[in-house]
Amino acid sequence: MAKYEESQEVENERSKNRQRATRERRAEEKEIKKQRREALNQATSTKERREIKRAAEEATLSTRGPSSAGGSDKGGIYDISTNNYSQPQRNQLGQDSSIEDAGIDTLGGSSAADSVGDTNTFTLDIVKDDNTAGTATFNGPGVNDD
Amino acid sequence: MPNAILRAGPDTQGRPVSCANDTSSSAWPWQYIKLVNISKVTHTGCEDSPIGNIPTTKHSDSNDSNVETATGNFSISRSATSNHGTTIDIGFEFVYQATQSFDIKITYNGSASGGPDIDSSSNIRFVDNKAGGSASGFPSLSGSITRTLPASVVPALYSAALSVGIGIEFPDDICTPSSGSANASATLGIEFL
Repeated sequence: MAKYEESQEVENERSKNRQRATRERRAEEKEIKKQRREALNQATSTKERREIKRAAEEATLSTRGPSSAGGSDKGGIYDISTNNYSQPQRNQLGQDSSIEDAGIDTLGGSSAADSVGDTNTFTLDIVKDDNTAGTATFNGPGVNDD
Repeated sequence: MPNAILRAGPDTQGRPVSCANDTSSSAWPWQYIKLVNISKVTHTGCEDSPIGNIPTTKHSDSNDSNVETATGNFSISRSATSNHGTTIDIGFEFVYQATQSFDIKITYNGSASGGPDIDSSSNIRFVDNKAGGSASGFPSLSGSITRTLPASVVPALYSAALSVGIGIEFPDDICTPSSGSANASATLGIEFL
């Protein structure tokens, strides 16, 4: 009985540690997201925005430890013919690779027009289909260089 | 059902672009350019010349071109007078985008009076930038014309103008400023149908 109580005490302590780590990680990610948003607002070129997004994603991944950077076996592929277990490569972040290197796009990834995860919105005037004046709101980084 | 279109403008000449016939939007006010030119020639007397006395005149011109905001139907009216010659040119032009065609009605009314002897070059003329959009007459001209302005994704121009010109002959005694009068008045209006 004493052994069980001791074990339960250890497990409770571990749980508290995990919760504390999670809170700290979330706070770090929140700060990174805030800095990313501010930097994107000040960016003047597509290239600059791309670099900011890349840096922000790397910073976010670093807060999650090796498992999020592709270092663990989670999400790996088991090849039954060779009995090997392989870890997929990270998704492509840049635009200059060949199509063979391309993976599934990441959120907030390489495209300047990628609005997922962005909180920037901008509004443009439109003529509505009934000939009246209206506006349309778009998500994204706004005006691009080209 | 037509698709919505993004606002363009100002156009290549810097004119504001309006949203079809929608004059109700405060965010996108309906704007046009108002044109008013008034020219007056006043007989002031005479001066010596190798061929004898010739009449002298004084010219005064006022030219206004302003961007105006309309909140519905509008019109422009002017009148002027002198003792020898008077010309009034009023007009408007606007640039628009529209997802579907819309109708406007232009009403014009010009009149001239004077004497004792009216110059034969006196004339009143209405014109717009559409085919068949001209009319002339004297000493009065009035009428209306309905135009269907087509849908346009890019800025499209519509313009209309009314000119009223009247001149009177110099008096027999050209060295005495004329006691005659040349009166002109013009009204040009637009109605959104």
